[in-house]
Amino acid sequence: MSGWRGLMAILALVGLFVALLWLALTTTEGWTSGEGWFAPVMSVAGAAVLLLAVLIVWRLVGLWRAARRGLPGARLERRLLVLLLLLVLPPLALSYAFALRAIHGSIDRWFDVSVESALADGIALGRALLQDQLARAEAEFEQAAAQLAMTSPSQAAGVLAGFADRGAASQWLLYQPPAAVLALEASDPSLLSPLFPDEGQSLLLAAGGRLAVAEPLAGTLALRIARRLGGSGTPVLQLVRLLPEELARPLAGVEQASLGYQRLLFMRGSLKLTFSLVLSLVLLFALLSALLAALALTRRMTAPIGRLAAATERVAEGQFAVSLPVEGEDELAFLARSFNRMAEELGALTARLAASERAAAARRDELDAVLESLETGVLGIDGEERLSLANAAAARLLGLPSAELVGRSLSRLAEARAELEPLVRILLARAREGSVRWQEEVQLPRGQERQILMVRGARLRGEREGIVVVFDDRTVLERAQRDAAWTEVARRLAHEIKNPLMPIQLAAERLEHKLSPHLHGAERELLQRATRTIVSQVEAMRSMVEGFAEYARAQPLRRQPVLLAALVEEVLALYEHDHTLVVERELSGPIPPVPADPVRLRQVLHNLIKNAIEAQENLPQKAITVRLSRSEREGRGFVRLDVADRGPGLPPGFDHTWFEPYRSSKPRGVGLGLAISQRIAEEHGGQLEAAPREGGGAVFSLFLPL
Amino acid sequence: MLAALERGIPLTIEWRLELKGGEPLMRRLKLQRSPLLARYLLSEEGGGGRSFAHLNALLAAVERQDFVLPAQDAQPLTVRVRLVRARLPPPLQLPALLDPDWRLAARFPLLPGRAVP
Repeated sequence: MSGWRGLMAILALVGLFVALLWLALTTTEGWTSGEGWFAPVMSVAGAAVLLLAVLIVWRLVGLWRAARRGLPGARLERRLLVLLLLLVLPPLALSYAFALRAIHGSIDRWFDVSVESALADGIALGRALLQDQLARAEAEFEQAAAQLAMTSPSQAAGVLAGFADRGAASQWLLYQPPAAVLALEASDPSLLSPLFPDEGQSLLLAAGGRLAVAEPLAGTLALRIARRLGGSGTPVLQLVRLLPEELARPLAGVEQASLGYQRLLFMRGSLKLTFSLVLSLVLLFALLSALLAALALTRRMTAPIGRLAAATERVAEGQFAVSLPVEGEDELAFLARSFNRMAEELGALTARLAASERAAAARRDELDAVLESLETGVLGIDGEERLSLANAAAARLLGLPSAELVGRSLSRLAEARAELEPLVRILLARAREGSVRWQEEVQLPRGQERQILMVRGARLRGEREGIVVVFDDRTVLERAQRDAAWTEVARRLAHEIKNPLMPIQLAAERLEHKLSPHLHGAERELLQRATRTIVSQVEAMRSMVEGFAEYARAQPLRRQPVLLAALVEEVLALYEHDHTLVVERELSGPIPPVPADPVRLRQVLHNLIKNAIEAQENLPQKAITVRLSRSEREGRGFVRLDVADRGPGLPPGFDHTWFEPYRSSKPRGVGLGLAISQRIAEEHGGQLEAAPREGGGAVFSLFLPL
Repeated sequence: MLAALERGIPLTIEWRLELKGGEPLMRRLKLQRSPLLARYLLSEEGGGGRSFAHLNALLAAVERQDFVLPAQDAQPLTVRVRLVRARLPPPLQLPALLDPDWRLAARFPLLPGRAVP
């Protein structure tokens, strides 16, 4: 379809060009050859130019729209088009101005006063010649008329024949008006028909009685002389004589030259206008042709570039299955071929890269899975001291979600979580000093406890700067080691001290028994008091040794579902006889049974209640509050048992070490109650904690997992 | 237009008579001036010619045209007289189209047909 359109456009252009050239030529050469065709040709030329203009406008609008839509190559095509027009327009306008000026000057030079004068003189000369010929013919005419007057009508033809034979081609006619031929003699076959005067000449003849004119006849000039031979009603004698060829031809030439000059003179302005119009049409044609050619040229030049741009865009989008058509052997063909090769190689490279990325992603997933499954915390810190990696264990150990860790700078982390400051301080120091490998133990405050982290770090090598840190929670391990140490101490104490106690007590009692009868008075009383002291202290030591033995004794748990509320009521019933004690209970909540050893739990309860009572020993009225509730810790459900007192509260500096053996604020305590309770809680997977009570006193909370 | 005639530009005047239900009658007259003869020439396409010493006589001859109408009852008759611009020299065709001086004004109304004896 576009091919047909292009062919039609080319044909229209060629037709227009030929028509304009022909028009220009005919106008230049004269006016006779173009007679009758000028207006149609001008109309066709104008229509063709209009059609061409419409075609170009249509193409330009399409081009501008394409450029505005950002189609590949359209902007370049527009820029090239403007450039070509800028190159073409100035010389075209300059040529037009010069051509117009030259045409007008050329037309003006056609006219010359001397030529005009010469032509006028030629006409005057011709007229004089005609008058001379006319005078000669009149003289001959008068001779014939005189002879006819002297002859009879029947001899008129003979007289006229004599005159007809005398000279140039002529017709002698004697007629009775209006058209009754009396005699006709002709010296030329072309003059055999009577040549009557026309209507005007007849009227003139009738009015004046005489006629002598020169007139055109049969393509040449003729002299016509006529008059009546007598008065009114008499016949008319007429002589029609053709001018000799040697006279008629130069006279006609002079007249044609004069006519041509006069015509040109008259058409001077019109000629300029017409030439200007034709020139303008030619210029317009040239301009539009240049524009059309520029459009075609720019389209032809930019089409491969546009295809290349579109293909580049597709490649940029990741579509490498593109192939540009390779036409010819020029630079654009080379470019297209190179692009195709590049796209093919890019496609292959991208496929390999995608495979590598998939493998890397798989490895990364595996690494992530490994990291997430580790119990060891792993942190990545980049060169800008930001956390770039944090696995689930790290988030759990540091008490922050991974999302809040990754991307956060270390300094901000310390600002947000003050308890992490010791860890952050070490990480920053190690990162800044650039230690290749290092290991440190860090203690983080966690309420009344402290979290012990074993932190190991290594500097990253390669393009990425930063360090990788792994850390383990050593708190439980350290506590277990400490518990084991205390257990060993307790076991040794029980073993080493318990054995000599009985002989000491027996020895003291034997001393009293043997010596008491032999002493009197104050001496006897001293012995008895010393013996009682020894026995009582031995009892105290035995009690202490029993406590240590119990602490050191590892007993298997006998778990069973335990309703804590019932167990608490059962234990509290043992303290109801104490009228100085007020017990508040908050046990009505829906607390499910917990899997626990009721015997060990009962021991814990006794320890906590006894501690609470002993803490209020100096108070006249003691009060404890026992509360059961549910709580969540690290996503796990717990039953919380609180035992609160209104005593002096926790001692200053109370921390987790108070749950270790031999730590007590009581003057008579050996510090095993809380340690045993804590151990039982841990054996159940729970925890024992202490906190100040609002309004005074302390609260000991036992957490047991559900 | 008459100035053009005086300068030797030939003019062609077309008479066109249109009768209802019949073929139109057309006559083209060529007006010309001969500077050599100092006369005006009037010729008809396909016919003879005449010459006139004065312009008025020429114009009178142009205006006075005889046509032989078909023998029938009186019928509406339309007469159109125009200057044939296509016969003008090309440089004058455009001015003749645009310039009011080149418009042929009919000075005579439509006359009824006159019986020729």
